Amino acid sequence: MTTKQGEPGPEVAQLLAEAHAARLIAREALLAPNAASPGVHELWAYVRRAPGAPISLGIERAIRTDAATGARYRAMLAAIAVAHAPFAIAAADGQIARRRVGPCTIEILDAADAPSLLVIHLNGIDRLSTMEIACGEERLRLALPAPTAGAIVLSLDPANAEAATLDRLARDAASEIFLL
Amino acid sequence: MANGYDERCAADLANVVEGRQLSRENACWLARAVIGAIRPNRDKPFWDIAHAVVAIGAKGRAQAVLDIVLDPRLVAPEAIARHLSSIVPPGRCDEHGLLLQAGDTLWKGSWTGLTRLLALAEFILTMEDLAAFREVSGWLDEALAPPHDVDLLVTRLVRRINLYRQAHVPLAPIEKRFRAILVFLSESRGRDVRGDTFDDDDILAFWRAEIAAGERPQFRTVVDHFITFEKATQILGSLRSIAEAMSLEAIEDWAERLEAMLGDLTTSDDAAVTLAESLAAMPESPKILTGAERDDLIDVISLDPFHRTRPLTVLRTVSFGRVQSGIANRLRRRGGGAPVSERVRCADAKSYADVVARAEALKTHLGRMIRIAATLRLGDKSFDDPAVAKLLAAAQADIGRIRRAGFDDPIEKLAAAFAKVDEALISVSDEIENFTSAAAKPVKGRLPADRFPEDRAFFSAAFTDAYRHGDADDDEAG
Repeated sequence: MTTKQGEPGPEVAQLLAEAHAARLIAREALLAPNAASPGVHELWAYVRRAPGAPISLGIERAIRTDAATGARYRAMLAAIAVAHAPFAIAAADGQIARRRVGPCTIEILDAADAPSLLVIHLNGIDRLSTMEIACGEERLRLALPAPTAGAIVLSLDPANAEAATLDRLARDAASEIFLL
Repeated sequence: MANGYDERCAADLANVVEGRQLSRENACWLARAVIGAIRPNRDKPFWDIAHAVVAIGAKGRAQAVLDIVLDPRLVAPEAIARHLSSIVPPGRCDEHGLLLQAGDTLWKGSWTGLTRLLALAEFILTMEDLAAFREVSGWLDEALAPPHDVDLLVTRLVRRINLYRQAHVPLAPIEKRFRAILVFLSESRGRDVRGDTFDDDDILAFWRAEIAAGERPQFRTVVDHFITFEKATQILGSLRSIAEAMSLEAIEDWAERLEAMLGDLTTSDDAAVTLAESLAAMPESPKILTGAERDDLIDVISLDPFHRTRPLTVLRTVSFGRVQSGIANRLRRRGGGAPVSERVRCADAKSYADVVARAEALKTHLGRMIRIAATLRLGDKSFDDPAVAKLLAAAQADIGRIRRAGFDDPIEKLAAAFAKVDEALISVSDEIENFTSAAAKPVKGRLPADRFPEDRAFFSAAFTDAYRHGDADDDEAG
């Protein structure tokens, strides 16, 4: 130690600085106004909900209208997603028939005399359970059936309200897709 | 960054503290773990988290661990014990907590300790609006897969929290200031006096020396440093002995003493926090305290314990600290109110007599509110007693004379509002009383209030020096 007589070593100043910062930050935090709502616990539970579970209007509204809450929700979803794509490259008319979502490919197959099909090619992913798709005000979460020959197939039957929404969202290049 | 840290860190901490309803002790521990104010090894909490994650998550994936960290029901040790005992593999826990055989050593994490570790884990996941959430959950995934590289997870967590500290709580400037205080005191006190004692004028002289050296610390910030300094010396004894012990590392249990000191020091603002908390929670209606009254009270009480022990420093902080924060605000906003060249003259600084008179007036007001609260507490239970009935009638008449929002509410509503805050009113009143009676006593043979004219000349000269470029300056005051 090369400090001169009577001058404490750098460890003392470091200890004081840490104690000081911890003291002031603890004080500030205890005095801080109430945290944002919904909190992370609520949001996480919502991220983890099963498809078909009741929707919380309060949380849905917060995700839509409060940018910070929306960003937190999406960060959580992206963290547990097997595949995620915030948007797709659109054709000139804004419609898409095929897009990449992480390692997976999503394709819409139209037929003249039958409901269209949405096909998720897993491309090596062994298991998907849930799809969440959102665009603007709309957000849809649905359970995915078991894959057959490396692909999951969903019917986009216009008679089914959920399938009709999925059809519309899946064709929109601005839709964000999470595969869980 | 008025105090050397930004609001982000306090906000991140507040979210976790509130979401988990952490006790004050646990909240303060969390603050220390985030800062690194943990001894003997500041990385220990992250080492513990990494082991806990691997112990808990052996069967599942990261999502299951995140479910545990982000479950608001798993905050008390009993709930954690119940839940984790039912899900971790056999051999990974006993009745006291989690166990993990890592190489030659057996790691143990008590259920009580886990309440803190889970809070710290939540902090890392949620800090900076979840900036690290995805990254951290990816690391957990990796650590949960064979070969369970705990050390890698520790390294990653420590590296991440270090980035956070650098961004939001840079300690170097605070450390530099403490080093300067230590040098200043040991030089100015001479050989015969202990180098870690100081008085009001030392604080002032140190602040002035910093300005002469080209720094521009807020006077209040410097006072805050001295408060920490004094608390540290009170808890540990002479700081010179710390220096010797740390360089020799010879004293037994020294690390434990330092750790205890950091804990005590961080929780030492109990009075100030409790009071300021309850002041901030005062209802809008009935308007027991106005915003300005509340701010003036917090101004004094947040300097605890100096409002009792160093009234002159508190007077200086309230009076001239306000002038200085006005200058800093103007520079930050690049305008608003009087120009800097005028402000540095301190013409509008509140005299010490006025500061004390304001405190006296607040005390009188608090006394009146406390009398009303006491009477309202009696409610309608004691009407049979004529003396009590008379008191109640007098207080009710007094309530009628108060021209403030909410005081014409029905008496039951008033009683309910006052019942929530009457204890806080009494504590605040006591602390203000402590301040005014301390300020009425001579300091070094003179009444503090009498020193205002020379202090004004002093502060004015210092401000003129610090802010000599006037409004052309950028503010980087810390």
